[in-house]
Amino acid sequence: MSNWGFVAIAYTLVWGSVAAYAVLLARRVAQARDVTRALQKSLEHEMQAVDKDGTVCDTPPAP
Amino acid sequence: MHSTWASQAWAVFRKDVVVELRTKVNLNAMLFFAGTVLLIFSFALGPDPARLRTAAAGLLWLAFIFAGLLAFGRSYQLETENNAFEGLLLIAENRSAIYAGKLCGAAAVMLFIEAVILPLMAILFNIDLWRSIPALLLIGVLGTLGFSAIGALYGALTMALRAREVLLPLLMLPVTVPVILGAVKATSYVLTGQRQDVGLWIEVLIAFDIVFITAGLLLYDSAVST
Amino acid sequence: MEWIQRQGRLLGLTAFGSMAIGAYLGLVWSPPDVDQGDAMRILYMHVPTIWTAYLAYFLVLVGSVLYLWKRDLKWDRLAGSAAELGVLLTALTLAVGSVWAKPVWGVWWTWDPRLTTTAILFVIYAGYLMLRTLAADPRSRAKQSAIVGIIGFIDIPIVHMSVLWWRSLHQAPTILQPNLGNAPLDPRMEVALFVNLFAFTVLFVFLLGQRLKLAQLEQRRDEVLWEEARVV
Repeated sequence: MSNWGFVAIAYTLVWGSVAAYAVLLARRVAQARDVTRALQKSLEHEMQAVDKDGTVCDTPPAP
Repeated sequence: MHSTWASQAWAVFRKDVVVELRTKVNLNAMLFFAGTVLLIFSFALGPDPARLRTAAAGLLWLAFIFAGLLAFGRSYQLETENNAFEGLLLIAENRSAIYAGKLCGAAAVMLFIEAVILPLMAILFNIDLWRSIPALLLIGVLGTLGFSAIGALYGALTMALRAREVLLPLLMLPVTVPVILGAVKATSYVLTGQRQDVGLWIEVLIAFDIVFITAGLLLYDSAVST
Repeated sequence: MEWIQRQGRLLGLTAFGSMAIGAYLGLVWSPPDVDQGDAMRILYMHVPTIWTAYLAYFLVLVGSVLYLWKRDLKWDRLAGSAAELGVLLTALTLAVGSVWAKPVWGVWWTWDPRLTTTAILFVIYAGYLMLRTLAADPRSRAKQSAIVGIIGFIDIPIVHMSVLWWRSLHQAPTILQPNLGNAPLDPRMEVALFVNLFAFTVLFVFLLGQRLKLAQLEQRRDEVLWEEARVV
């Protein structure tokens, strides 16, 4: 193999890995954002449900 | 309880050593394990006496280190039973005393194993030990202390984790590379009679011991605090 | 830290642009080396990856020390994020170094001090990442990994010295030599190297910002989960 062959392998390795990592990272960020948002929504829902039942609140709402 | 740092460290050391001596099973198992490592590696290298003698130092320290890894896992595994470690934390005012005690306790166990395995190796590999004993003793103590300096700290970090049996060697072995290199090189120079080259590696071992025992004493409090 | 998280677009574009310029300078504009020929161009990747890896490990140390001092989880996020990038870049350094060694030294791998040190570094910080995946809760994870991060960094010079005395063959570092007056590098090579160093540094900062963002989101997610468990 010529020197240029080795150069090609090295550059492909670095750029390929970095690009793959960046894409993966972007996907992980998007995923974590979605999950957090969904969880937060369901948490708020949960809290409202608990409020309506009045099981958690032991003080009456302010007039 | 108002006791000095030294007496607290001594108490932890004594406790660990007494536990090992009373239970014996584990000490015996470690001895046999170290002996088996020595034997198996010799089989792997083949029966040529000259080749075995050049590899002797490396094989010896591999056996010590594998046995040492068991010793550190064991030293903290016992503490997790019945929350013994939390009791220990409550009693000691200065956590670094626990570190010192643990370090010396595990080092004593390792040194005991080394004292038994070394003559065994001399017989198996046909090596004349008598003239090298003082030098080997020094290398053994320095190498064991360096290994224990990391082991006593990392053992405390990993004791509550899943998969700690795998994680402890994985964390310890790369960090202790200087100890392994230093001890193996120094031992091999002593065994082959090249005394003039031993000094450099003894210095590496001393430097490693000083740096990591200091780091361990300083960091142990944060390692065990909750 | 907040700044690099917010400036994702700016940093990303700068990184991409300077990487492209660096590639042009390294592959086309700079001349081949007298001894090594075109294989020398691999060093434009090799040197920046190890430089950013060391930068990453330094940040692991900074994050670890600050966490133990301030007990603020944001420092743990810095240490953990930097470690992940450091391990990736060290792996790339080893791989690219191997590809360079084959045409120049004739072998893929030798037990040369700097190669060996880099391999040990890789294993130390891979263990660090492994520890982070196994910890029970964020606080104890932060504490445990902070100590491993500090010990690991202290170990680097000692490992390096001991391995250096153990064996030697690597090409002496030419950039850091004091007699820059008669530097053996062609000036165009120096320009190409420095542009690539700059490009990789910006790239590193960009990726670190994204990784920090992820760490923050994951922490927020765990907090919400915990909160939910408490309410239900």
